[in-house]
Amino acid sequence: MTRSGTSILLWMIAPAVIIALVFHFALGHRSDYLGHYAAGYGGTIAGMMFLLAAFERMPAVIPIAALVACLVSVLFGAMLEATIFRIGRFDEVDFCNQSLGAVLAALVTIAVSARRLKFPTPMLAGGVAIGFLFLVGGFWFAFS
Amino acid sequence: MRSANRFVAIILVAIGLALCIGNLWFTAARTTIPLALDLTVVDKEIRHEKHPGFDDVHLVRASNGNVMVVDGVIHDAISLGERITKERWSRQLNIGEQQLDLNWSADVRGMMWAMPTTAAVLVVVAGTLIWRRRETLQ
Repeated sequence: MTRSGTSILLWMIAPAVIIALVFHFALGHRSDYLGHYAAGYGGTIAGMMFLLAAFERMPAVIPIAALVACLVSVLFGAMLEATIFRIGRFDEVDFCNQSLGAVLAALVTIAVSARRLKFPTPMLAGGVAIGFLFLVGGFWFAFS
Repeated sequence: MRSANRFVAIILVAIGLALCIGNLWFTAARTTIPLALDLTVVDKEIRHEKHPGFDDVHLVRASNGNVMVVDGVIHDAISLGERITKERWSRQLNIGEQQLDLNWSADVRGMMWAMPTTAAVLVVVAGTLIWRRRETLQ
């Protein structure tokens, strides 16, 4: 992978990890908060890679598409929290945390798209893999 | 395209800041410190979540039909039929003739670190879009 491709993947990892570390150290007694944030980021950033691939020839559309995808992700997360993950009740804090992950993923996607004109498959696959790792880590912190 | 980036980045930061404030408010409200209360407790319930004993949901139902989520220490201190009063931002909860001193929970104290940092990261990432120069990597 090129040097710029590596820096793009770092863009996808570094801000998300900084926030995850702050959640871990400041709210370590509630690992589910970190879990919801990580799952929200991971699921959304993985989806955003398909958006980048779909709109590679129409880069002007990417910011609005990322915003719409972020809002869809937030609504999807709310739906999950209200249905299959409604264990005690709909938890507003869980909702806020997973939505913060989705918002960061959208911002990172736009930042990445502003730095590249082309998105080679290895870079997109790397982004999906990073998203999957955050998603799995999120479930682990939420339920372990 | 740069103006679209800026416009969307500002919207996303606004949503992110609202979520950070939401986290602070929801956790603070569970301590009841920011709330003004005058109610009679008609029911209370503990619902277990993913980690019983750590993330239990403590519910208090008032005579007016409102259901509040409160911290465990408050839930344990009140009994059915008791009248609860307090002034907004007071650190003292009046439970019948008793008084309970209130403190910020570990959730609130953690959020007071985590949310400003999260907001700062969102602003920095958005800032690279809002104030960015024109070059693009190939």
